[in-house]
Amino acid sequence: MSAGAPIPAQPGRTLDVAAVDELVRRRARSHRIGRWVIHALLLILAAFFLMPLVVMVMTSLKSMPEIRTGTLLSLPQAPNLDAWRSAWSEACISISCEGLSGNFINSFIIVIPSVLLSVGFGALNGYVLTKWRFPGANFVFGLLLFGCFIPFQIVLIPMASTLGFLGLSGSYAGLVLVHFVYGISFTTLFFRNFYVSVPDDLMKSAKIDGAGFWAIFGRILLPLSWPIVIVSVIWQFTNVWNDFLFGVSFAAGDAQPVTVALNNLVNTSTGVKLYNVDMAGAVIAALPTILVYVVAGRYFMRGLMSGAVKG
Amino acid sequence: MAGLTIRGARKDYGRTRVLHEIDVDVADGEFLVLVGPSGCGKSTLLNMIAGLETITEGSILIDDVVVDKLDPADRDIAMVFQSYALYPTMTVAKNIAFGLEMRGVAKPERAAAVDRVAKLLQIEPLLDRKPAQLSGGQRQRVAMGRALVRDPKIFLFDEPLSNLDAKLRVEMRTEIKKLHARLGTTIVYVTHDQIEAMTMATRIAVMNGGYLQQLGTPKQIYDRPANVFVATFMGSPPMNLLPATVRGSGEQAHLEVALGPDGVGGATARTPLPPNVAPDQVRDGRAVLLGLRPEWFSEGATPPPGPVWSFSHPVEVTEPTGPDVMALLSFGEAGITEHGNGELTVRLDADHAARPGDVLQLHADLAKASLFDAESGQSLLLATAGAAPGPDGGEAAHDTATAA
Repeated sequence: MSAGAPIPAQPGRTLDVAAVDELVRRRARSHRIGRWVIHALLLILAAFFLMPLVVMVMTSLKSMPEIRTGTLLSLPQAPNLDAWRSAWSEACISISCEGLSGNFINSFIIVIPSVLLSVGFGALNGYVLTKWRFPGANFVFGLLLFGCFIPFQIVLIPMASTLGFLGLSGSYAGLVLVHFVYGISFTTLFFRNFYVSVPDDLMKSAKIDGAGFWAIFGRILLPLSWPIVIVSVIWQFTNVWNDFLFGVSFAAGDAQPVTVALNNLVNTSTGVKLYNVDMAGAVIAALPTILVYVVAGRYFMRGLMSGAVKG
Repeated sequence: MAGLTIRGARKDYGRTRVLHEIDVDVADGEFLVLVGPSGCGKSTLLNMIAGLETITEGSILIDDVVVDKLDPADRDIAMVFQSYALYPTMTVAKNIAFGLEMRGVAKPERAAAVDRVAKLLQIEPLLDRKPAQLSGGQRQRVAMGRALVRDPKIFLFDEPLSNLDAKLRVEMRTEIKKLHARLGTTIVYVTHDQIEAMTMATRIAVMNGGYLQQLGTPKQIYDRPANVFVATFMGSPPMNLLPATVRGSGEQAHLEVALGPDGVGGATARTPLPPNVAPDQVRDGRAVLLGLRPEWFSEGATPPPGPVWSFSHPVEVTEPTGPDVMALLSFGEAGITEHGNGELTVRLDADHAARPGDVLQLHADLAKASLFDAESGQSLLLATAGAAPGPDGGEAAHDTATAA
């Protein structure tokens, strides 16, 4: 083909201005429709998942007569916090009538040290397993991973006798120890996989700069681990906070976490079932985890994704 | 005076030996480049000098002190990594000062040292930035700053330029060389780029397969390669290796070079022996490789003075590179060996009008030519500087040494 010759139009494929306009319009329309479908679907799904929370909050704001007469989804006629007050400080759980407040605080007393310990040791384990490798490091990591797959129920009896042996039965410390030991498998897994992606040249460089084991950990690795720290904290916080089985098995009386108390509150079999108090109690028990997700959720996603993509 | 001595250094990973008996002596203020293809052991050797890898056998001395058992931090070395290895959460200033901080240098002194280095490398405006906010070239500078600030006895560079684009690489190359001239500190520099090695080094250690192939000045390495590996690895295009046979002996000895079917005046050509060949290596019938760099040829009707091999050969194809024209001549099947593809590359002037099929009258400068044993690949020249026994033991190399 000689240069400069006009490009022959293909028969039936000539594009005039109107046809191009029409094409653009059609594309835009189908794009718009697609958008609407996606948004509608997302809205429906969001409503579906939010429904239980909405029902709980609305019921907790109603009075008992209103609950009996109205439907599950009707808005509260005279919203009031009586049920919340009751669940927090007045409701009777077994023999004491002090509400969930004490147990709520118990949960914090258990959760905070458990989370700090398991995340701290998980970070240290991950650091040693990736950056100070020793013969058999992979085997040790394999054993730790194994811990992620052991069902709670299996360890109940050995754990109970261990706690008894240590003299920690029925105490906060005992429950903290259980959660710490159980959580360390997961946090080690998180941190190990995160630190694997940290280039070894950083370690070499730090060693030449004269930094030792702790200086490298504290000054170089920890500061860049915040995404995985947040993931681990959220993971551990929710797991420990929501735990029921260990709480009911290893915490006695005054040391019971809120989940156990909530169960006892809801399952009280005497008298009228106070749905509004039950719902308020359930929301109170769920509030900290909800808050943690709201505050740190976006870091959670970012942390889970980090390492998946380079950079 | 901060010299570096490597004595019989060996490295084994389990049963695999990755470094065989490396002996290198580096005087104070030298710029030693370790060069070789990937997997040749050059980075391992550098890490051994740094103390990041243990030495299986042998020892390393910095300033005549055995450092084998010392931690990297105690060897008074600084290292620049290919990945720069900047601490991502620290600012540039903190990155540079970290090594001083770990050594307990007081804050005001640290700040002064950082300022001095920042000025030297012209990175003052970057001091408050994080590494992620820097371009590749800037990161490179910061990495150098981190090494410079401690004023160590030896700088170690691990392929520091290979992550930069081509233009920046050339700039930084010059800059590192200037820096070395200014500071006079001993540098050990690892690269796989033979041009970097040639341009920067005061001495080059060519490595392959865990063996030190040759240690010498860039000129020695380029002009008098110890074996065919060095001859073909260094230089671009590489040295031509033409299969030839020694004929006759004593004063009558000469070479018979295989020219292939295209050869003008027969499939073989007769040429004098290169004058530097060790006389005791000349044996009638010995298969050898004649080593000639592309620029050692001249073209024209009259041969230049000195020992030359003059021959005529048709051009197969020409490749203009800008400053010169490379003419490729086919030697056919006869030229194909494990070290050559049967082609001879000849550098011509840029305005040479050679076209494929033209017959060139060529003169190879035999005063520069190398000769290698076809079997062992070792040089047969007299006193090849820094020749080291290669993987095959190198009887030839030994002979050469004796002859010298």
